[in-house]
Amino acid sequence: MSNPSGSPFLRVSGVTKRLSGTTVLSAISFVVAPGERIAVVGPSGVGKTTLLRLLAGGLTPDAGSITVDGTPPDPHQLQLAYQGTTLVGHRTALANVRVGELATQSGVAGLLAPFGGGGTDRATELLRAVGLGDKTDTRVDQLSAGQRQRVAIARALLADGSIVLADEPTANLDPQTRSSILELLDTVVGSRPLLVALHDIALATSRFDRVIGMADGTIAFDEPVANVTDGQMADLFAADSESHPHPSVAPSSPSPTRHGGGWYG
Amino acid sequence: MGELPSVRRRWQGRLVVGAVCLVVSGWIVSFDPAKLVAPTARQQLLAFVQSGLPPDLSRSYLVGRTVRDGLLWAIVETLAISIVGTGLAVCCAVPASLLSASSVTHEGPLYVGASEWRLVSGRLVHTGVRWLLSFCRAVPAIVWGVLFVTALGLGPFAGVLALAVHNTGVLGKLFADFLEETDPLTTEAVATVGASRLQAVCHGMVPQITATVASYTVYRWECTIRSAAVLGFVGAGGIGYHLLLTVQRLQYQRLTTAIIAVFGLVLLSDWLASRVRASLG
Repeated sequence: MSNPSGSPFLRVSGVTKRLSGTTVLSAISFVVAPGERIAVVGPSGVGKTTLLRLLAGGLTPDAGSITVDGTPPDPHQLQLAYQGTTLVGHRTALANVRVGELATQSGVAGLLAPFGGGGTDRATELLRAVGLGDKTDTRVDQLSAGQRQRVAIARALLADGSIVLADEPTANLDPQTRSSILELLDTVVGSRPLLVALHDIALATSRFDRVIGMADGTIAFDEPVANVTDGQMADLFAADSESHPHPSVAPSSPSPTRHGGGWYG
Repeated sequence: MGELPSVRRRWQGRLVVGAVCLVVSGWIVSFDPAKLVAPTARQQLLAFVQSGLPPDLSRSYLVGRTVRDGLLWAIVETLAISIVGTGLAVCCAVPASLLSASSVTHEGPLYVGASEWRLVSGRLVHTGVRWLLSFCRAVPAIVWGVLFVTALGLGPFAGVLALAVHNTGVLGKLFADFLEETDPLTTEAVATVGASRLQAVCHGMVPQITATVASYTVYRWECTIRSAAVLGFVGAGGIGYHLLLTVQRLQYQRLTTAIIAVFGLVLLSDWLASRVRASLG
């Protein structure tokens, strides 16, 4: 597959994943063309995070394959911005971001690097870019949920993968910061493909080329953004019986384990 | 609501079993509270307390002739034994815990797509080191003290090694359990950046537990002070030797002083430890 632009071509075919006995993803297939911006939408618990973790290499598929330009990807080729809860709370924002440099460092220097201060390097630049220039030396457990989210994004961007993934980068953010984060991703990602899991329908349709709707571990639709109808979106979220019309503004979505009325049984 | 009577019956059963164990054990240890209040026992206890008062605070006992044979020196020595013993134990427990935590050796996000050979060898190391730590822990510090005194002769160094070995077993298991309870997603996020396993352990797993490890180390140090106080009974240095000597020589006034000193030492370590823990936040 020739690829003159230098931007990679991601192919996911027939990927299935079971986690502790239940099938979380079944036979997921799609392709991401060079430079494409894709939103993966769907209610909580449909497998968006699992899909991203499979792509990032944090999990291995039980069946199917993931290839970049026809070959299995290098460990750090696909960089996922995990949710902000996966940062190390006792360390500073800067130390957490500098973890993104680990792939390019080895030996003793690589082991000690994130412990060092580091003044004007790229990690500090990225923190400034996500609006946390004044928080570099603040411990992560003293940051708000939204600020942690941005630290996690900076960490993934520092790792410099050729394909960028983000898991709910706008969760816990106010509407203004939400669009500024997506704008930031857009700028920093450049010509690289971008795949973002989102809860927010409006953001998905306003800022991406393509929308993949997920329901119950499968792909419900996969359309260019112009072809996505309101009906399709409504169906997606209605499938989750206890969900809300606008999950992103609801205080919290019901936990899947509570389905079946455990209170009354 | 229908399950309540069966729950109650199960609890009644447990109580009966517990009561039977208690009675049988009491019979085995010849438990006899009447002995405590028997006139002869009362007289003897009273005589003992009287002969222990007032405590001996003479300079010759507290400081001794050469400083090193006084009670104050024994207190300092006990503290020193506990500090070096705990320090050595931490130095051994850290690598041992890394080698015996399943999340470091063969399970979880670090081993996504690892070879079967790697997993099997990891499991072997994990099991082996766990067994070793169990053995260190199962033998009480005072028994290690007897062994080291036999091998190295009398003195505080034997006490240091006894505490170090036993507490390596305790802290090693504790740290390994902490490592196994770390959040796997946090480690996964570091590993998928492209970090090596060692890097992911250093920057994903270890920073999650450093604060807990520090606070448990201080707690364990408190415990080693109490162990160090009795190690002297087997000749492994510290204040325990004074306790033993005074009992053997029937110097009850000195015994009282030594007991007060142990009490003071424990209070001091309690206070110090809580200060350190507070500063760890």
